[in-house]
Amino acid sequence: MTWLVLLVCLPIVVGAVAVVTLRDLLSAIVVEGVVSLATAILFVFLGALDVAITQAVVGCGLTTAVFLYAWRRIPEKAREVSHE
Amino acid sequence: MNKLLPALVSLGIVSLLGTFLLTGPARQQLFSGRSDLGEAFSRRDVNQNATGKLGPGSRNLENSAANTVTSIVLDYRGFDTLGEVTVLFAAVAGAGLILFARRRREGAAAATMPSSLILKAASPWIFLFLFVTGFVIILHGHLTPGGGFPGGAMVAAGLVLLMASAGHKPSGKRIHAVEALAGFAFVAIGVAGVVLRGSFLAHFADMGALGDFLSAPVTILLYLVIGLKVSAEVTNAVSTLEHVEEDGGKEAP
Repeated sequence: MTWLVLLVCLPIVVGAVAVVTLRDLLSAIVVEGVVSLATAILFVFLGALDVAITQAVVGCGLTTAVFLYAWRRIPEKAREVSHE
Repeated sequence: MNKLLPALVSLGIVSLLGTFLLTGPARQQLFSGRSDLGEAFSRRDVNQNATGKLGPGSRNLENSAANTVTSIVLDYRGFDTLGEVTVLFAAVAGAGLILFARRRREGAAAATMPSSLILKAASPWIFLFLFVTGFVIILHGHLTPGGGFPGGAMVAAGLVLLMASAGHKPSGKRIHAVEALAGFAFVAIGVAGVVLRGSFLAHFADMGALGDFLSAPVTILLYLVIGLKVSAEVTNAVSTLEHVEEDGGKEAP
């Protein structure tokens, strides 16, 4: 059980770091959705089914959709983030 | 083709909902009043806490929603949930207020990217499943995990998907009517509790047996109302976002 939880936590941590460091905003949005999905699976393992459903629908579905709408408004030049 | 697809999708919704209701566990629920899912859940959730005293089919309970989370959210803390719904409404209204000033004028062409073929072809069918699953989650909120909030968000996600693929705007009037009626119905159910049982949001109908599909009827009504309100609000918020005037990237990012 502990190993299962740790296994699910791995994509969450890796994804969270990737969201911050990725240069392409579209990839960052998709990775953010994957992090939400992994969080939802974690909630299932921990027995919080109500929270898991909400996390999957709102975090993975709606938030990603709203981010994508916002992404469409960003001018092409600004879609790549330059770090410093 | 333009009229065939909506007709097919609505036919699919009706037949899927019908299959859900007329086969398997749901048929049992309708004809014998007993639900396998609700029974399993009440066995797991309730029996652990009250071994031997309570179980599927127990009657005369304070609240007979098999999902303990639901019984707290909509019964013991029902007034808090009314506040929660109001907070969601205030958030959407605030966002709408800011975006309203920058809305696109009627008839102005949308300068957005055309939808891809994959999105166009797949979205009606994904919408169908999201819509049906959303309503099944809403209607089973008292038995199984989920309920009005995630179910409503799921229905809204389906509508947003349809909006993104077809590029059409859902009727604002209809959305506002659903939202207003749902909000009014929540308060009306609460007031009915005052009139019939002497306290706001009190359970005024027969509780039914633990684990039944028609147990805790007031909770079913409240979750249906919440699901409709949440889906209307979220759809409205995203559709406002979609129809904001393009700025052309004049401001520095």
